[in-house]
Amino acid sequence: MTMETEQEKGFFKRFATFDLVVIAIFVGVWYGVQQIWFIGLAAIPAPLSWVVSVIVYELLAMTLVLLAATIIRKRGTVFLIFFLHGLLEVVLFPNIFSVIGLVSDIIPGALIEAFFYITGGYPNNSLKAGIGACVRAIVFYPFQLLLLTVTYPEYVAFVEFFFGVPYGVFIVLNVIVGVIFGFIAGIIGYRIGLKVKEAI
Amino acid sequence: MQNGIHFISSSLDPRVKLIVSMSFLLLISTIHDALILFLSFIAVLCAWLLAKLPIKTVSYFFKSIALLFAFMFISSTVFSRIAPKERLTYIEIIPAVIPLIGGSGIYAEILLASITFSFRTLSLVSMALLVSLTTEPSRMVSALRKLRCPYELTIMVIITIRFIPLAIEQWKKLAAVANVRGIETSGIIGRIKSIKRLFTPLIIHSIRRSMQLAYSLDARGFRATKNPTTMENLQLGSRDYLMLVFSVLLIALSIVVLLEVFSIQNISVELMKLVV
Repeated sequence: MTMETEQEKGFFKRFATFDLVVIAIFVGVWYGVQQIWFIGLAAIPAPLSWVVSVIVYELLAMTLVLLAATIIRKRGTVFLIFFLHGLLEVVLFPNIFSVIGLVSDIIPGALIEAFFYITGGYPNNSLKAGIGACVRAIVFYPFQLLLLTVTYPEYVAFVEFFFGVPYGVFIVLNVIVGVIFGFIAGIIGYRIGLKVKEAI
Repeated sequence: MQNGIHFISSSLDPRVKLIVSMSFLLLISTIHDALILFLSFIAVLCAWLLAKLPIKTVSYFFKSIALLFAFMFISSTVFSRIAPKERLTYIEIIPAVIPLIGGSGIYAEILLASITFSFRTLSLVSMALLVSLTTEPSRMVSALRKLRCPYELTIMVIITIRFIPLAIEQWKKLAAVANVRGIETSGIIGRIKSIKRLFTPLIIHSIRRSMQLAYSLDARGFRATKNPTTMENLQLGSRDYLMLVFSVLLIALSIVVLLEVFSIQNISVELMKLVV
């Protein structure tokens, strides 16, 4: 299917053309569907839209990531997806927030990748895929929400007013919701991935 | 056209645009004066005028920017974290003679802090939007390539950008088909249920497209050579160099402001004291 040449070197060498295209298109789907969802969320009251957005974001992102990882099964796939997602935001909307977004995408991507390799390579069962997906929520939400306290300090008071809980509790709640739905999304993504892999 | 946005191609090199916008962001991040931030915003508005973007595009984005400003201003005013001992000047908005709500007002310091924060965010967002709207994604990707980004990665960015509107379009088509068949895809519950129904065909469609595109790329010699040529070769012109000098000046000014060589931080405070 793909053309491997001697000139290919480095990180991208392990990926066939199909792998690279699948990753790119999945990131496009992630970004596109996310846009449709978040436009619809604007009409919902703040606390509810927060819950729905965390759930949808986790379900969408982690399903696609684990789906691609199951199809491709090559070292660096998860990291590349997160990196591409962050880079895309910087290209489409170059500002300091998107640069922060890029960093907050790279760290969980690298950690999920490390998790898979510590536990013996890419997921070979849905439980491992689910746990791998949880790692993102544990890192992503505290990192991004703590960065918000620097870039948008009023957000802290805003959250405390709307949700009636201290900011620290809000971060923990985000992590809990992210872990639960990340786990579900990881399992869904892995299972769809297996079916798709059989089909192709 | 991408995502309903018209991109216009300006003569400046995208690398220079990125450098100028980052220098500008650095400058406005260091300034804490409402008046200077307002002037910065006016400067960005002038850049918007010079960009000669279609009126429809400008009005669409400025409606969003206006909403953002309103949200930032109100949330900053209501949830301001200025300590009570720093709140000195009270401005009465509702006269005290009115029963119940009479005497309500706001502290000038809180108002100033909200204006400062809102104008900073507004300048930042407007500048970033301007760079996005005046740069075609393909030129931005060429800039990435010139900045020594790996060839594979730049191709992936191009594919992703190209596929975002296609993914949105495909999702809408699938939702329309589901609606025709009597399946509800609007509302919270409908949307959640629709994920399963729409997601699987969307993925299958995406995989088919990936296979076609991979064959197509291979047939065109993707990764066959180490240094592939490009249709457009980015070259820095005299205007680009001029803008780079301007960026250096912006960075220098940021450092000067950071080191507080000029005491320009309190112009608005002094003006407000005079007014109040």
